[in-house]
Amino acid sequence: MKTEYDAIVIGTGVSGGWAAKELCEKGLKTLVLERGRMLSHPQDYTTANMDHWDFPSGDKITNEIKKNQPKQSRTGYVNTESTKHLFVDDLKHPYNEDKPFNWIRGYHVGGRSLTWGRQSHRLTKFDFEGNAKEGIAVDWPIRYEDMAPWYDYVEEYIGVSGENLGLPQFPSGKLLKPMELTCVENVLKEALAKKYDDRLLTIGRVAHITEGTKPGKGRVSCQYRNRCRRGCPYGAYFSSNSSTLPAAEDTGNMTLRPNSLVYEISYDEDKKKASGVKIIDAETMMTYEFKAKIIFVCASAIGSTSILLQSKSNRFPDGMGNDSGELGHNLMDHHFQIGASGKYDGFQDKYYIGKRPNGIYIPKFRNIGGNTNRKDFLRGYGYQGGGSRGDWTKQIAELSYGKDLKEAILKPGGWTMGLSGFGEILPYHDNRMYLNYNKKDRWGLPTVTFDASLKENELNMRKDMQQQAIEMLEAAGFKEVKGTGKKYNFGNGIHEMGTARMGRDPKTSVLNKYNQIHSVKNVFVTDGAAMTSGGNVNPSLTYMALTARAVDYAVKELNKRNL
Amino acid sequence: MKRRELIKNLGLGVGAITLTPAVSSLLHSCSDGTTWKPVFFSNDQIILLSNLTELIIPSDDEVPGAKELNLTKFIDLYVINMMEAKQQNLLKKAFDCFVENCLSESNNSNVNQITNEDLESRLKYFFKDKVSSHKSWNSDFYKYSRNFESNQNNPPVVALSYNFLNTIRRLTITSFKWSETIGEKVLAYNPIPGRQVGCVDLNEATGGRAWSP
Repeated sequence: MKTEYDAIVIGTGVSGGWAAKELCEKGLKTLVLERGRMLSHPQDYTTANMDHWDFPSGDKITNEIKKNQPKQSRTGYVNTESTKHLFVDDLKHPYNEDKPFNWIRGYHVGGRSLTWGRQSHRLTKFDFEGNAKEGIAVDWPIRYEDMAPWYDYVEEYIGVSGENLGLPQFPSGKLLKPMELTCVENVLKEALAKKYDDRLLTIGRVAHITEGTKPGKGRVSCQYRNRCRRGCPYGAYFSSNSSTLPAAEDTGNMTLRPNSLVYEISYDEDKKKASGVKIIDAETMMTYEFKAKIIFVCASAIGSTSILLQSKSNRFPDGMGNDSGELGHNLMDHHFQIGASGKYDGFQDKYYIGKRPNGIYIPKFRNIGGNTNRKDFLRGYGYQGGGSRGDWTKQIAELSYGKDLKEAILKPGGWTMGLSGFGEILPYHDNRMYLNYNKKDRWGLPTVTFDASLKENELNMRKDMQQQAIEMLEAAGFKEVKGTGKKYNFGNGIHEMGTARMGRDPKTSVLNKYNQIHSVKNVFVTDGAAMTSGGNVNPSLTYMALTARAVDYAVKELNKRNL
Repeated sequence: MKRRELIKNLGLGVGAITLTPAVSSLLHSCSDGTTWKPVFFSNDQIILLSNLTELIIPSDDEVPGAKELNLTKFIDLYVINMMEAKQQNLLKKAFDCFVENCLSESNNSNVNQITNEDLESRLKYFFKDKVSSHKSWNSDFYKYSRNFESNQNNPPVVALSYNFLNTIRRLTITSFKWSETIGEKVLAYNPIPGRQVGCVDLNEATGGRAWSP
């Protein structure tokens, strides 16, 4: 067995897949480690073509699923019959909660790139500048201009559909043609354009091919089945499995090793560098050590931070790169599940074709200068949502049973429109995860404990998120407008971020401006852990851009013999 | 144009052709056989349930109803697979209350004597005649269900009967829409649309039918 490589990548999700592709394409012999099982595109998408009637009780979360996935089931929207195999068994992979936290994970090749929401938005200048301007946490060591070419590069490669509007709070990108709005979404769009000068409605930006093809393993245009989270046989949305891992494979430089649970990055005290990684084979329980010149840690925010915390040495008694004591702290997510919905009379003779795997987007309109600045909270939120035709049976009491009910079921119901805000959570030092060495998993590794909650800034923002949603729907003529809101649980956004943040100062941050550990120059962390602040948009596109940028830097440094 | 024709056929034509009574009863016997045994409900309950679901979604010349589609089988499994233990026990209790209510209103003494007319008069009473009582029945039900684990005595029979009918109605609608025959042959079924149009004429999209879930 070969044990020495040029580079090692830990993890195969959006970040790991990108690291693998970029490193391999630059000629480095790269070992890619994944803690979960092999999952190949497209043959392992076992439920991709199944309908409700192919499951005994429809495509739902059953009592049987809840037995092994009690925590994954909490959101109510991830692990149904058709997707349960893409989420972890909570009994096999336990974690602890000082405060409630829903940690939703998929341990297999491709990770959560198979089940992600696919919304692909750029962070903005407001996001990169905010911390410094407002004195929050630490300053990002980069600005929008540093990221823009890498966003371009990633968008062009993966394929992102959407609409360019040329706004600083919603930067333009390299986009494929947008998907279409439904009739009532157009009504809201026009009403917002008339009533407001600070906000507008557009179609969501999603990592779906809407024209032509993209590189990878047979990636073609979206078929509008909206069965994305089971794995797409058309490769129409971006996943590591269909896009970056095949590209890495094609170079002949990649060795992919599933069932490889990294528990430590080895540190060479003499060379002051990492020498490689130690793994447990998750199936045989055998341990191995692999050596490499550079290591990319892309195991997801919590996974990567856990590995660093476990990587103890004389030099780093509290975990690799943890001189600042910030490792595990500043945990963020996006808070959501609050907004409004309403009904729309009219368009009874209108409908739509295709199951659009996307919704509308209303970009951030708070705290972007001038009149938009708020006293009650910092930062802001965007709205996602959509307008569609529902079901008459819930809407008209007279259709309670019999022939009339049956006829009504077979016809499309009235139009409804829903808006749900997605807001920023500030990076608070005391929102954190840490390791519990008293409670170990079946591999003898410490388990993760979460201790994080929303604070006043987020709670104030939530009030505005609901209020504005109601106001906008009413302004557009929607009827029976109601505020909607469920209790948001930390983690529900499935956007864990910030636990090994980037910064300018080694005393207050873990990573520098190239995602390089300040004190261990050949280790790079390019997943959500790196985020200095969270912004209010879905973050995966940023992880991909950060990864490509960091690999570019790492390989140049390697060639200069600086690593 | 070809594609539009195809979609229209999927929505309407195929359904009309396939679902002659002879063919649909064939479907029924093929998919379910005769040996199906309920898991949650008793055999007596299934007979009543089957009649009740047929009243909620009756058969007609074009589209089969609850009995032909054997929706009780789905409902039985759904209760087992999806409802938590407390919900299941509440449903059992509510079923008993509904039977009690039926018997007292029809002057029968045995569940086997309950006729379709009796069931229909209950549906009419609860869903059409007494719409104004729905709120108070719901609140009586929630009061009872809150303390259900500690005290199951003196159930509010009428409120539980209403809750039972609501649950069965909801499950009948779900199982109807999620049945293979309705989902593939009656509703507009197109598993690979291949295109997306945001705002289009209803007739052009599906010929008037709802999209299959």
